[in-house]
Amino acid sequence: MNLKLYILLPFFILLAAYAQSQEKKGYWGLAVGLRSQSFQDHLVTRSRYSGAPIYFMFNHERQKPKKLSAFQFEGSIGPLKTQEFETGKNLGRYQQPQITSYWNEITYSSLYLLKKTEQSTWWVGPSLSNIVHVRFSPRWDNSSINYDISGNLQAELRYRRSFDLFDKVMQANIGIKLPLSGYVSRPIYAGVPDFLDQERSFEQQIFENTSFSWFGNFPRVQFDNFVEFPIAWGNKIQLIYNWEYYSFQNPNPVQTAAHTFGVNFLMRTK
Amino acid sequence: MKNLVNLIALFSLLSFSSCEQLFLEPQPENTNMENFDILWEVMNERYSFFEHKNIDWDSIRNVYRPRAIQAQNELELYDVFAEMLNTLRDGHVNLRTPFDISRYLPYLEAPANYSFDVLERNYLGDYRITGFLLNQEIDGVGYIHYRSFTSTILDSELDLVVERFKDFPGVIIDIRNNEGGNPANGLKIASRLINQRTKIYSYQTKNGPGPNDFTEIKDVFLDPNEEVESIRGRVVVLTNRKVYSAGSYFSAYIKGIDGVILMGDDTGGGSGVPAGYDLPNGWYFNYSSTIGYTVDGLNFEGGVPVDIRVEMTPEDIAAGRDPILERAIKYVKTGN
Repeated sequence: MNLKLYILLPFFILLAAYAQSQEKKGYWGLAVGLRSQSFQDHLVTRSRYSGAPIYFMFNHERQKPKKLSAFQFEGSIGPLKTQEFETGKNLGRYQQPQITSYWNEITYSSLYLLKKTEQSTWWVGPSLSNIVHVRFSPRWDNSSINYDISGNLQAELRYRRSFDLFDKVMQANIGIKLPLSGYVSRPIYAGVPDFLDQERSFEQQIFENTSFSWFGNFPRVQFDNFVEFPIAWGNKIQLIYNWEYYSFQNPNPVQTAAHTFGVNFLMRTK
Repeated sequence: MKNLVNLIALFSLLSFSSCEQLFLEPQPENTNMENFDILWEVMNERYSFFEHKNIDWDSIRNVYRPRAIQAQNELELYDVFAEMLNTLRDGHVNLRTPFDISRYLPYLEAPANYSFDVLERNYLGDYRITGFLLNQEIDGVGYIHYRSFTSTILDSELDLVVERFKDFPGVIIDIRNNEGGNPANGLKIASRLINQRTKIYSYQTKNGPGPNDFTEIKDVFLDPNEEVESIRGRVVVLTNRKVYSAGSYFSAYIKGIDGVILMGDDTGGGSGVPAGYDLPNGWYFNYSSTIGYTVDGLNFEGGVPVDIRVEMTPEDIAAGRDPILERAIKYVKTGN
């Protein structure tokens, strides 16, 4: 183990030194945290399910003097409950109001420098995003698989500002994304897969109720914020706080809101 | 230090100003009234058989809402809800609570027309259990008893049973008291009863809150399973009022298959696919969301009618006789 470390360490130091000498900057990141999430879907409930499932993210960011591109793969898995959930009570076969939430979003942003001052930069551009949010609960009988799947072209704006703290140059980022056009797929009315048609599988039906979406019928707002500070060899740590909300009315109103708190370790690659 | 303060202020601002409470719809209160109203409204918009059963759901509301509001505890509230839901006369409508599950049992009003004790003591002898298929030769006729559609049938098990009875004049498939499960198991059997693509039932789905919001009626077809041996000879399917849901769907398939008949008593129905919903107090319920039709266009929510009606009286049971099985044996042997 130690031998490998001694061999690899100079390599990483050289890599970092080389990368710092280039004008391009690139980072791979791995984040963990919690996604405090609430959802209400009138398809299966009027109650609000909330919880803080584990959050993880795998991302890549590349910055040139006038271009910023970023790829993110985010996920979250865990239970959500209503306020009627009775913690610590064994109610036998009765299913308490708890669901399992699987959320995943893949985003690619390609932003251009809009304005630059001595300490701040403004970036603007398009981003592509695909969300898969599945809620599963046996409480809902044949409606047990409840989901929103959505892909969108978005407009994105980021503001970045540098500042000094503890003799280090820190950077704060505030970003907002709004959907321009895309699609949303939801279960059909009552949320039951059409398994009476035995010639079509569930997988074939997932996108049956798909609608065109834009900000007017799919009001989604995402704020992506972080503060980052440098660590050794050009690498960085980000403290992340993201917030998002979206709703959709077909076939019944669904609303989701989430606060995400996380720590992202970024390793410089260029 | 000033920057640190600014940083904390920025995060605090973002954390609290973007509170989702501004956007999310308020939650319903956990009161008797809210629970009742949500239960009634969801059923009103989504239940698929109001017209078929000629139910005036508004008048049901007038009767039960005041009683629900006045309920003094959970048990009383449950009783009111259960009584209201049972006015729908639907086994696929159930309210689930930690202490009880409401249910409608139509077969209690009908003769049993079945006794496994009689079958086992006087007809089955040393029968085989191939997977979940009980099978035996009875008086020169093949007999298969499938007791629950929740029990998965494997093709390899069906192969063994079909092979066993291939030289017989026919087979009796007894699904009496089979209360349903996965319709796919019935399709496995049915695909061995046909030799060409066959229409087996139709259905439509509630697709909106209005009373007439349904999809177009859709026909469902089944292809023969040509990779396996078919069931040969005359085939009789035995049913009674306790045959429900996937059991009724299987009986509906039989209505569309030439050369196969239903015998005994009509099935108990249950053609609506159950969907689920929550109540604010944590209870949950299911309701019928579709309508199923036989190939003749009959809404079989009330049951699939048999082709030959045969009764099994309490006296028959006391005497250890199964007239339904005996009539089926005669039919397989003679065609009458």
